Amino acid sequence: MRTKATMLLAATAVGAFAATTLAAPANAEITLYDGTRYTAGWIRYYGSDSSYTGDTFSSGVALNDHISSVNNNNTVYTCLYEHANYTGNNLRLNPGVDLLTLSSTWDNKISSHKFSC
Amino acid sequence: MRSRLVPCLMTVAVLAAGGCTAGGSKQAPDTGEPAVSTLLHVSDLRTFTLPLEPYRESSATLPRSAQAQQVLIEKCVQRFGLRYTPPAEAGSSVVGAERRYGIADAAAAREHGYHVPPPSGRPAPETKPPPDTVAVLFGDGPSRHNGQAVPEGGCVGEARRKLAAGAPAVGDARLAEELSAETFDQAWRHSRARTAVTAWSACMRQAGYDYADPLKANDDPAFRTPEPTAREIAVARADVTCKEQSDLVDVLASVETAYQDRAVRRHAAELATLKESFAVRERNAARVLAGS
Repeated sequence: MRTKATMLLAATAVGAFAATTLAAPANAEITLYDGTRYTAGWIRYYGSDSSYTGDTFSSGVALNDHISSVNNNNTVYTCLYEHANYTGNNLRLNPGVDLLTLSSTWDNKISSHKFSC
Repeated sequence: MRSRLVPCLMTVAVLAAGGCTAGGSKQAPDTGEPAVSTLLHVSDLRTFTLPLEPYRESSATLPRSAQAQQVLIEKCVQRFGLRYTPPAEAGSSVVGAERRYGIADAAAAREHGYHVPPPSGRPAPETKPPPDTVAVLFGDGPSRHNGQAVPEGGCVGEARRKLAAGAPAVGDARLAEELSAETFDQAWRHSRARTAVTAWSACMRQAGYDYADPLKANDDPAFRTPEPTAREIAVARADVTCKEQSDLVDVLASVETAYQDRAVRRHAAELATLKESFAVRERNAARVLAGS
């Protein structure tokens, strides 16, 4: 059973909110978590972000290289990149597909993301 | 089933010692470092395609499915008395493998440094989706809306199931993603790539910049400014020049192609199933679009 709604509600109660840097498709959002299974700090985007530098989770922890799970409320393909500026290796997420636990290949290695990739 | 000859034919310019020949009559040994005797010449990374790319799901790999999915989602949401606007995709400013090995475009470096240029076209407004729409789209809210049962996984889940109807079961849908990540790391560790990176780094040092590799230059925290600084632009321009002098992009593209050819050979059966599932989805999508 998915617990996404519960986790998002809990996250909203913390009150963090993410700025976006690029155009966002309508009905698109992605929430990134510091811990696996949507735990610990979180940050939500409604558009692409070419660099996480300066962004922090709700807990105050810097986002760069600390993401361990992804809640993907998106009807388009989304790419997560290992480096800033959509550079290097990338992991593609299918529409609506969440990642409760990032594999060791990707855990704590994401530095930017792009919608509609 | 995919022919074992195909990967050889895909990369006739990448000849593994004792392995693929231009005629494709021999197989490369599947262990150790592949020898890359002839480099691919990649003039534009935006159109460069790695061997695993056809097995990685995207709107480019599955164009009709991506389009049909939006149609199905829209119809599904309407059943619940809600309105869904399919995403208006702004023209992406980074295309294909353009930044896979870091910045490689001299004009982009000159204008934007490492920064990503703004997307072309009018950007869509940032939109926070209404909660009831999100719940119906992704199935993560109440099980019913307006008296109707929300499908498992919401309208997105329903659309994906409709498009996948009749497709063969895929063991590991993320196989190509993981293999792609693996070959990327392997490519940078290949002796030929390490030589090119060393040459790139020496070239950068001559220009007055000290970086061990292009990814470290790309990620320099000093460049995380709203607009590119003069220094960032200078470093990015030197980066592109040094990549050209060291053949770094051609080397990395050639070596990664060799590793991906090997991965395709090793996982031929699983990848063939994945490709067949893509073909079924595209056929289903064509029917959806014909009826829409």
